[in-house]
Amino acid sequence: MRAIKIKNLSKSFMINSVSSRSLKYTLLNVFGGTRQKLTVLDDISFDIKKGEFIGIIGQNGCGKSTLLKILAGIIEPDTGKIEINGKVSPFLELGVGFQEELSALDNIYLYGSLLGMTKSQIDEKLNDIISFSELEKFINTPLKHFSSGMYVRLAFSVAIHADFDNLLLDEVLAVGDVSFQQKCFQKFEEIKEKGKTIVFVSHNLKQIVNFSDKVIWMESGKIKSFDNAKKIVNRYIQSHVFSTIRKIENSKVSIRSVNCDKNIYKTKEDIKITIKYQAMDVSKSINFGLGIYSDNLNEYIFGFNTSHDKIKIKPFKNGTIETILRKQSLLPGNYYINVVCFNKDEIKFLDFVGQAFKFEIIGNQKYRGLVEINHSWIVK
Amino acid sequence: MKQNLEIIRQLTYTDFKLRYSGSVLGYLWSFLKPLGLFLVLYIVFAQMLRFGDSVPNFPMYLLIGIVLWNFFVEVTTNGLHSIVQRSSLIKKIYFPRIIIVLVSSFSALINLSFNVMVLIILMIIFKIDVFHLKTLLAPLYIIELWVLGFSLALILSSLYVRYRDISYIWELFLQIFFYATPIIYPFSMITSPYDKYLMINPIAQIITDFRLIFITFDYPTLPYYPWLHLFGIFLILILGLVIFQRSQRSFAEQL
Repeated sequence: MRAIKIKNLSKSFMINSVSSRSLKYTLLNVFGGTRQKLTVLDDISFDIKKGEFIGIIGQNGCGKSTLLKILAGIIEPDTGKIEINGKVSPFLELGVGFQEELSALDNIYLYGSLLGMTKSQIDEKLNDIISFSELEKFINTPLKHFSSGMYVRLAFSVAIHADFDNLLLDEVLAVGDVSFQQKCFQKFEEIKEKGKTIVFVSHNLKQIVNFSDKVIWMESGKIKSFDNAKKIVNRYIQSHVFSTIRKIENSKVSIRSVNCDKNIYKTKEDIKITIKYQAMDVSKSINFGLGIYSDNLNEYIFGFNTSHDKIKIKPFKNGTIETILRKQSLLPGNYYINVVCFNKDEIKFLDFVGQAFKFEIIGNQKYRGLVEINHSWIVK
Repeated sequence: MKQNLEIIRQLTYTDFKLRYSGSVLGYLWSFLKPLGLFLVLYIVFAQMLRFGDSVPNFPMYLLIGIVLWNFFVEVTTNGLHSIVQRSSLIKKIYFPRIIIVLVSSFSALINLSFNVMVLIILMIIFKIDVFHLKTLLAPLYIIELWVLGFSLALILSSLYVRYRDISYIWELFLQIFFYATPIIYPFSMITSPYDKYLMINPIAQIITDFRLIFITFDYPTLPYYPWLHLFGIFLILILGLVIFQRSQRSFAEQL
């Protein structure tokens, strides 16, 4: 069954260069002023099935939040059709309407009502809300004495117990502590199992990969792709990494090739990496850096460069450098290497190759995590 | 619908609780304020000025006028600011926006009810017959005034989102109307052709009729424009609802 269906949705805002909130401005600009049209959403269509956990990613200003606001009914679209089955509960900001002067209990009722609960519904769920928030002791304390963590917990507990079919979340979990975040995501699983739909905007790609079934990737008001979460996030990271690299224009150095001696290694086996480069200007010394990432989590594991190790490279016209990762302690899995060449300035690069080489570590998965750390036990 | 009623209830309750939070005397202020006002009026007008000698119980007469006028000012001014004040709510959550204006007028109604309690107590002290059949008309006048204020608040709050000048314009307007309404002077002082013009003002009609119930025991009469005010207020209400309905769609974007 379908939960949300969006068809040809567009939205643009009129942006004024000067504040138009005075009558004077309006009167002086009746015949058109300096208004600019800004298209935030441009002909968007998608379907979300019931019980799906959908992540939305994209750079700031790509229209994610506007899309969520339209789904929540806060903003009306210019054109397009929206069909939503069931009740929508928006959670776009922590504790909307919370009153600092009132007690946590009063705020539960206030916020609950804003989320569409009746008093009897809140009465019924009050114990669950309080115990989920772990704020039993502070339930009669005014909110102004709460820490930001307590604030998050209270707001989230109310929101998650609201009676809804579709939950909209906008980057709200970034605040809470890790254990509470964990608890929330467990709750999301429960919600999903009940056949409820969650749409989740986040910049935390790890959360997106871990919890979303599918991901909408938005770019300047359009949906760039809508597919399996892992697939989209990987592509997003790749494009993101390249777009943030600021390469020096007309750089005099280029990386020709990056190779390893094998494709598959065991843990503790040496990895030899060979980088071939070409330098037009051999008078200035250069540096090389390597970054090792895990392929499925895109986790940055280890980065090192020649300047860290106090090695100066006098470039050759056609040069080669080798590095050996001696007895590397990576656990079984897939990894890749980014290679960068820079001069003194580590912010701007002479050349950069993302995912220059991919390799796999095999072996029996004895330990957990990404790297094996040498350890011993003492039992007394 | 049930959910919306709950939102109204919760927001009104919150407003009420917040009003005197942090003050020592708390809700007592709701009584102390009109009481203090009456004391001033009594000393100035009944003891020192002898300005309204033609009217029996002139301080009471004044207090009724001022209480009703203040209620009108509170409904319209709070209403005017209500949408902008609750912008964080409007931008983050959806519920019928009219609730916000409604709640702000309820807060004014609660305030009025405290004032009315003081009025009743004072009337009993000054031996004015409160327990009269005509007293039943008083709530109807309050409702009439509330509908007028609420309708204007709908228009004002919608405009205020777009044009911040509205609050100054309304302030000026209220100042003018304070004198165009028989509040601090007795209506009987107005000479012949002007009384007709004055009575076009619906607030003048409401305040005068309200006073007629308690101070001068005539039957509430509408000799000037029998149905004009009710009809006019009804029109303003329709106009307010239409304007508000049309502009509320873009509130979240404009705030």
